[in-house]
Amino acid sequence: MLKETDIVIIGGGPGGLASAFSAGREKLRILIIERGEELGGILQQCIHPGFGLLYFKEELTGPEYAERWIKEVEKINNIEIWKKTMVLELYPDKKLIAVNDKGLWEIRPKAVILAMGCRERTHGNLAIPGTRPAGIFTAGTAQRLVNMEGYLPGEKILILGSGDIGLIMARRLKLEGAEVVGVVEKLSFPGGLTRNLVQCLEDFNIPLFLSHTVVEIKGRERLEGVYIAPVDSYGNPIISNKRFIQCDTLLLSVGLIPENELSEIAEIPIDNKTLGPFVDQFLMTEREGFFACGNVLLVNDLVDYVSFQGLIAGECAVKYIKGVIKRERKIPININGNLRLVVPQFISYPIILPEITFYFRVSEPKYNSVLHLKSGNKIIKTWKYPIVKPAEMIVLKINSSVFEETDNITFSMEEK
Amino acid sequence: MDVIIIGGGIVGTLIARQLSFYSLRILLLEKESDIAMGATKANSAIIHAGYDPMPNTKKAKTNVRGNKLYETICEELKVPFKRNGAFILAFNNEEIKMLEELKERGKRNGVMGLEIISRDELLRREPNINCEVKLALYVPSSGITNPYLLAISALENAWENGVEIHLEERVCNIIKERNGYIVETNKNIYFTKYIINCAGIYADEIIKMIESNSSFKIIPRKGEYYVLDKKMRNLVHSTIFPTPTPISKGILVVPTIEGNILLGPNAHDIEDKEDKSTTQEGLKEVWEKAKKLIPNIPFSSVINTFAGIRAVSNYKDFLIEEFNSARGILHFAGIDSPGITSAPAFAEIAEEWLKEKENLRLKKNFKRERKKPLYFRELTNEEREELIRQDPKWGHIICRCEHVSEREIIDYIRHPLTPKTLEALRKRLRVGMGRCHGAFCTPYILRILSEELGKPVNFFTLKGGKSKILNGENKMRWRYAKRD
Repeated sequence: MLKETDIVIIGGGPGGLASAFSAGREKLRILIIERGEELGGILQQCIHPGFGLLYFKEELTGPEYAERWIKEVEKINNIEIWKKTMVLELYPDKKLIAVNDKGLWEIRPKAVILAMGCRERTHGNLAIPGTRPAGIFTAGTAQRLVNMEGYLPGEKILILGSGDIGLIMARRLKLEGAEVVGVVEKLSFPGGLTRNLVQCLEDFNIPLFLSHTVVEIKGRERLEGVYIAPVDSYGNPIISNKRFIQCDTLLLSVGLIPENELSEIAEIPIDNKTLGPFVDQFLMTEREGFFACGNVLLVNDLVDYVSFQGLIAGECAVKYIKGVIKRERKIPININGNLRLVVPQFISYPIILPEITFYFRVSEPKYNSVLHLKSGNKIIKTWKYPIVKPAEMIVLKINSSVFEETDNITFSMEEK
Repeated sequence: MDVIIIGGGIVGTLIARQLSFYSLRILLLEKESDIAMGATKANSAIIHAGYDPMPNTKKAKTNVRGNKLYETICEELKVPFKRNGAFILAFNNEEIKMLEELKERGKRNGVMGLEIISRDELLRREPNINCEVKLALYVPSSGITNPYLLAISALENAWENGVEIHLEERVCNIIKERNGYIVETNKNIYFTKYIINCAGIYADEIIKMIESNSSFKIIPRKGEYYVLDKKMRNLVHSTIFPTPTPISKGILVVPTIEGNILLGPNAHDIEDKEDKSTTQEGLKEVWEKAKKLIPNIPFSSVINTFAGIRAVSNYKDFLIEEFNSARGILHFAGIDSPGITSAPAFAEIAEEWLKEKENLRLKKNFKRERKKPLYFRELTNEEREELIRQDPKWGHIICRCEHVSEREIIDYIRHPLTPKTLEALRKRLRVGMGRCHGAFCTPYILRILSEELGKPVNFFTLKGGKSKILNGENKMRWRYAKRD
């Protein structure tokens, strides 16, 4: 079957909702395609507070944050929402094939917004030695089981990885009555936000084992325990110092991977640092007419950033359809020093937007750093950071005029 | 019973199917929660050509015969099979000599089409191979399949023809009677005229039950593997072998029939027949040796690791015998590589063996072919559209990585031969076998199982026994219990 529309948004999580909201203000036909049973994506299972401090200036739970956006989007007549619908194929010419219980749909929109979010790295990705029993879950799956399905995954739980979901699940499972024996982190510094370390671990006396990792999984049918060992400065486990921790459940919070399988089918170039598409200030990918926002673009710390990106992608998709975006030339954004990644990765001219929001992540935690913005060798601007951490994104809004008269832009994070 | 088959691996299931065409009462006993739980589940999934075994051995004969039978058997049972060819690489003069020897041996075994090809020709066909390679032996008849799916399909076919199947039933003792044998299991006692021992790594223990002074012994040999994401499907198209050593065919790079890539296996003798754990050193060994064949493999493409156990024995060849002291029992023991390739030939051997003893009559309405189940991911868009019109559940995709619909899951849960475990569904449908490893679909599958079977979500197991997926109680009940 054929479906007529102007913009297709793939994914009805916070990124997709915000992009629909901003694109929907113009009288274009917009279609949100959501795989799950409800809009809001992973927010619906994040029943803890801490969402919306930047965007709404108040503290909301995940479902509350989602609900605000869903209400706004549902008010807009020209936005159509398809749930329980999955995109099977996406082509470079923007044709896409989707399936739901009505049938198979062929859609040829004028612009596509990629908002597929991310998935969790799994036990299989880590290649942890040992057996393969029941009782190993990603933290997000456990979160869904506990918060939405109403079941505990197990009774004695160890968490590998100190990412935010892992920390939040440590507290959540403790509150539900399970015993949480600890959180194990391979790096010498925690992966999650400071507020989660305090509110989820310290407040509940849950131990955090830094510079440790799980080196072996034990148990034939159900998990019986794991061996953990300290790691040396190169990250290699010191097996001779391993020790056994009895547990019936291992949760993994070891990183998120943007879900760009569809982007790859559509031959959209992917940045191997962000694992998301290369984009310009419009959040338009190298393939024109495709936009990306949220965790499919880069893994964000805060949902508020996802929403901000969604708003830009939606607004710019409309501009693209109206022919406002030209992309007459483009220049790359270079990064060096302690910076690991940047979004957007390049700027298209004419810039059009009054300001550009940059997202950075650093490689290592450092005190007293400075971030220079350089044009060639000339420092144009400098920001000071008393402390930077890989877990916390650096977000900068910069006036576009800075970029008008240059063709060589570098951000450099250096020690003072 | 007329025939009891002990063991539901590829050997037992293919024999059960072959015998199911005849008017026989057949029972297959499997000790695990599902069939294909041992070596049939965890192996390289290669259909070997047969250049490797020593001429005139049972290994050589059954390997070459089995390889020839694969096209037909996979066609009849609707299991994917592909002759993707293999290359055996030589990196130095000694290995080049070995290639010549293998080519010669292959010819004597009756393997067709073996050809030594130049480095340039090899790199033209498989550009990702380490360019330090000198020469390669090309083996066109080497193939790939899905062995556990073949075993499952063979048993479904056998079941349609009337074979009885008992899962979670372990043979504890065999007692010789005048006209047959009494077989005692953990659940029942049977009388049978014939027994076929296909017990894999436990085949030696079955032999000991009736031949207590037998010196035959199985020494489990573990092999570890990596599975790579389907994104890597273009890494190689043929199976890539190093030059073999006396203990094993070496660590390979193999495309799977589903489009993933396997790296492995190594080979280490172990004590414990159930020790399917991977090890730090073992995985490291596999990774390093695989990189010698194909240098550019990104670690981020790994989606899983596993280990399998080969039933290596102290008898150099396959042991395919009926002992004089216990007529009526046919043993297939010490079935290590190329056991999967040889299995269809074993089925022929078992059939001939029984024909010599009994006047076998074909059943009137037996089926050689299995009806192919429909898989959403294999259908054309037109076929999908038609199915969704008939039943909207075809349009509800539960497993996003492998594109499995709700309808397929429900159909397999309802199939009488499917154990109601997560792993049984994975093996039959690939649901949860993709890159997210079931992180997204597990809660949905548990819900479907629960709705279909009327049991709570925390009732279900990964693979039977104590492998409960959710160890905790239902949250609400748990909380009330604590309050008391």
